[in-house]
Amino acid sequence: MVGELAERTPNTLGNIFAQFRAFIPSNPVRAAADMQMIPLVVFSVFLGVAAITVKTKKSDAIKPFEQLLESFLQVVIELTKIVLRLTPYGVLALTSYWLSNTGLAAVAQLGLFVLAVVIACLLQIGLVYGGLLTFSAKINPLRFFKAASPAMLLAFSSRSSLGSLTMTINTMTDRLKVNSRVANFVGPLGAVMNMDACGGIFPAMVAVFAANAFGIELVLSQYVLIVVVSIFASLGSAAVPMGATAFTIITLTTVGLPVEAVGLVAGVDFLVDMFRTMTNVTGDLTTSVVVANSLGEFDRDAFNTQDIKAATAKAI
Amino acid sequence: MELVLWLILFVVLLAALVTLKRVWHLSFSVRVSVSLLLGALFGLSLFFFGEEPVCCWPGYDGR
Repeated sequence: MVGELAERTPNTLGNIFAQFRAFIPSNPVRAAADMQMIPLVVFSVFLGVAAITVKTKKSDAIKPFEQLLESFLQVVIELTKIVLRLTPYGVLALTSYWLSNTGLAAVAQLGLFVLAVVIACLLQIGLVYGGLLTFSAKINPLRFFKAASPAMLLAFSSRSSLGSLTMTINTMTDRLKVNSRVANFVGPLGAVMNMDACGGIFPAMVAVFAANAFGIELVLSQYVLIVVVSIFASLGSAAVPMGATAFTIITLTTVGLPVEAVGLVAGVDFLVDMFRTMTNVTGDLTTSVVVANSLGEFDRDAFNTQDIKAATAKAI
Repeated sequence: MELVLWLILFVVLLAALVTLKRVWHLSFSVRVSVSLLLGALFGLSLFFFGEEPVCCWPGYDGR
């Protein structure tokens, strides 16, 4: 019996729980050196809580620590800028190497990747947001998407959640008939926190793409890890350019996949970024309606009776 | 000889990318997309027209 238990395969539920236990770092320095991102994030959260506690008790004692972190942040930002400046040359070299080894099969893989991201974003909009609108807010999703179209189109073309924030809030109040109090709260918060596509869908898709491109077979625990990291990333992604790339790198290193995959998909990033941003903004708009409905701040009659065509012509 | 030609071609592509930034001041995403396109053309050319390496440094096993 003991022998049978000892022969369990690594692809079991116990292994998944062990994976969660591994999120608590026993040695944060080693976690940083081994690129174990989640234990490092957990340690950073505890460090932040401890720093806040010290700040409330002895505000002078924490100042050198804050200055050190501020200075370190500036250095890391500068380092990131240098890496970004070199990205086009890296993409050229990586793509050349990749295609010279695999031929046209790699082009097909990249095309399928773009198609998969687009389908995933459309499923997120249609099924998840559509489902929330239908079952939670109890409104017609098609009518919602027609009303939300100006903000969705601006997000699609501008590729910036923050850039289209004004239009998003206006759409919430004028076309979705959400109270301005809810719109002014959900809009800015959603623009910086709700990154379903940039932090959730995209890193997960790149992880699967990387595994296929580099011939790595993923096990169940790695798929679970991808989902967990993607959920946290979708909450914690910053609304900055290349924010999705940063979280993709974190996802890949956490799962143990080659980060070179980010370079391979960087060339088609502008294309998928359109769909990603549109998904994020649609999520913000959906949330505003769901929250407003639950608080009684949603004018259902005005939403159902408005002339959307005339309002669209006016908005565009 | 062929290896040298491929290397020269790659350097020319790198120089073209530098030109895109310094002369035409193209945006970052456009330059990354162009680099993907150039890399794809170069990589596929190498795949279809490049010869297998016949000799290399000591200990080279052809991979």
